[in-house]
Amino acid sequence: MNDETDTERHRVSVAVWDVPSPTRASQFEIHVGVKCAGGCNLGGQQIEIRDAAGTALCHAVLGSTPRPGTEALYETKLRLLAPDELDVFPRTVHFIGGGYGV
Amino acid sequence: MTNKKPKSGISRREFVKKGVAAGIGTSALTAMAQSTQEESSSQQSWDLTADVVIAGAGVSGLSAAIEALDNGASVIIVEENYDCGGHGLVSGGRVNLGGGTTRQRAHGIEDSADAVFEYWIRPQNLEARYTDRDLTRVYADRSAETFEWMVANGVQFQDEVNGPDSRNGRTVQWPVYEELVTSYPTRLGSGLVRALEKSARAKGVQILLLHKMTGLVQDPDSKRVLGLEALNENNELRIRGTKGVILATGGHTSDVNFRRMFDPRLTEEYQVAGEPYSKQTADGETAAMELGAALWGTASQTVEAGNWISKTAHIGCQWGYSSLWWQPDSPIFDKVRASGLSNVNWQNVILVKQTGRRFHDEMDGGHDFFAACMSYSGDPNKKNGGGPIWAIFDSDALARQAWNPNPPSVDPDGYFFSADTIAELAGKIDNPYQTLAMSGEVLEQTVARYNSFVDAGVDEDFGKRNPRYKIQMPPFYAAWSTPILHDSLCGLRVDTRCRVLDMQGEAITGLYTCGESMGGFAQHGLGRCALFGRVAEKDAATSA
Repeated sequence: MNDETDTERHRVSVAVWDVPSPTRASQFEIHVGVKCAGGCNLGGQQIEIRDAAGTALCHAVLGSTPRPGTEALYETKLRLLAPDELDVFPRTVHFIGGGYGV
Repeated sequence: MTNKKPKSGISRREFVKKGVAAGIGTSALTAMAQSTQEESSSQQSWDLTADVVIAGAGVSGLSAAIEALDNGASVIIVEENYDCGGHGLVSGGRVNLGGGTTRQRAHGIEDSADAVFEYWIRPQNLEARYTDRDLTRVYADRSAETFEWMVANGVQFQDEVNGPDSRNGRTVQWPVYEELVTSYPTRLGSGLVRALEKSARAKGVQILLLHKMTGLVQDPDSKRVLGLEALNENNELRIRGTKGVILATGGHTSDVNFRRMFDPRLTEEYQVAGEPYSKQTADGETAAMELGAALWGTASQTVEAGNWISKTAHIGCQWGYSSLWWQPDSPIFDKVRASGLSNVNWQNVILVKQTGRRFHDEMDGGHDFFAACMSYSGDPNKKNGGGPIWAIFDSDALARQAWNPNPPSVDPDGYFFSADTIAELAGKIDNPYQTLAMSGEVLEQTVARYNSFVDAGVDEDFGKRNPRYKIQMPPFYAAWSTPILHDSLCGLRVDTRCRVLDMQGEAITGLYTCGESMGGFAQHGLGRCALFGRVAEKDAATSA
């Protein structure tokens, strides 16, 4: 579910946690954190969750301060809908950015 | 090396100055003054002379010295370190000596030399399978006697005892805090070393600290070994041993080229237990081999048993040998730099190679694991050795283990890294032995795949039983977890008198060895060192 992209020469990397193990649920929450290699403030930047076909499923905005205990990991919480069928459904996190000039 | 003049002249006065700097007492200086510059029968010049000269002031060398002094011989020891003890001083103090000791009898345990012999030649005992049974017989016959001898020389043993496996438990840590190199209570070897050192000094040994043996001196005609050369700072000394020279230099494991003779996989990334206090430099082996000495019992060094290699018990530091847990109160902690993260539950981490890929079940700690560690590193420019091994874990694991991710628990100077994401963590790994940049993408894939195994409850790649914890909670950590080397289990060929033998099986007159530089009797611990040190001296002292 992790991804990387270049944003004005600074690379960003992603961490995803609190991903539940397989469970019967209609929806679930995950946490996503994004770190800029240059230590830039990513507060307010957007991320996007996509399915295997690349279709955007939802968006979220990173929080304004780094996660405690990290150098500069900006995080957000997302609620995702679980598909009805029993299978493995890959999802990817994409950093969209937007407006803060990282 | 024969007939070589001293590379740099040294006057008696200059030597005395150096001697004082090395901590030699007044009485010792007087004795040296009487013996310097002796002309040997072969017309070689000597800076110092004694009946017996010993290279190495570890357990073997000190034992040989005491035995010689008890027999009326004069003894000079050269020791390259700033203090005595070698690996013994920071060892766990395990002493395998039995065969019917007073301690065994006090505990009602029947034991005998024959029982010791039978135990140590069992083919089922992989550590002993390839040993020389003539040497095993010597060990068996002198085992109980050497135990009593150690007690008589001040060594204290814990009041525990075992039977036919000839293990008399562990020694008691030396109680003088200032005389320890590491204070953690498992470093019981200090008790043995300091007791032997004090006994040897009381009996008159001359110990030249910071004197490194650089070679042996052999008579060009008779081929008898006459003495040795030693280097102190820039001054070279030639020291005569009229009755013999004993090599007690402590084995070869720190010498990468030497150890790779037995196993080409053992490249430079594998650290050695006992360092950075002392190194197993192969000085004795190399000097003797230059005179034609043979190696012996080399299978013991590569048999997949015993303690020549260990899984790290303390991760995130350079030296993580199991019972040698360096603490900040060590006087050499500036060299050690970190204690490491201990009591590792291997369910909490995954182990990856420098490529970022898993390679084996993390729960394993046997020789299949070591073979996997040393398998191809993935670097086409480094085909031998397996490269660094890194433990990868997350902050949840850190909390479960109650670890402190800061110095002095960990060494951020190349042996411990943290990052907010897995990809960033891979990019941060920078270590002298890391020959490839770890790919963040590969490490992310590795972690994601492992996390899927946790979800499924099955490790499809390496069969880790019930993989329990995902690696997902930032920040993330990488801790040095490369296996560490320990025992030298082979060395120079000797006969039952510890005389060094050449390729034809003939003795090199005047040259002896013992302890970890001696081949043919593989055993973990300090018992064999003390025992064969005494054997070596016995023959040297009684020879012409």
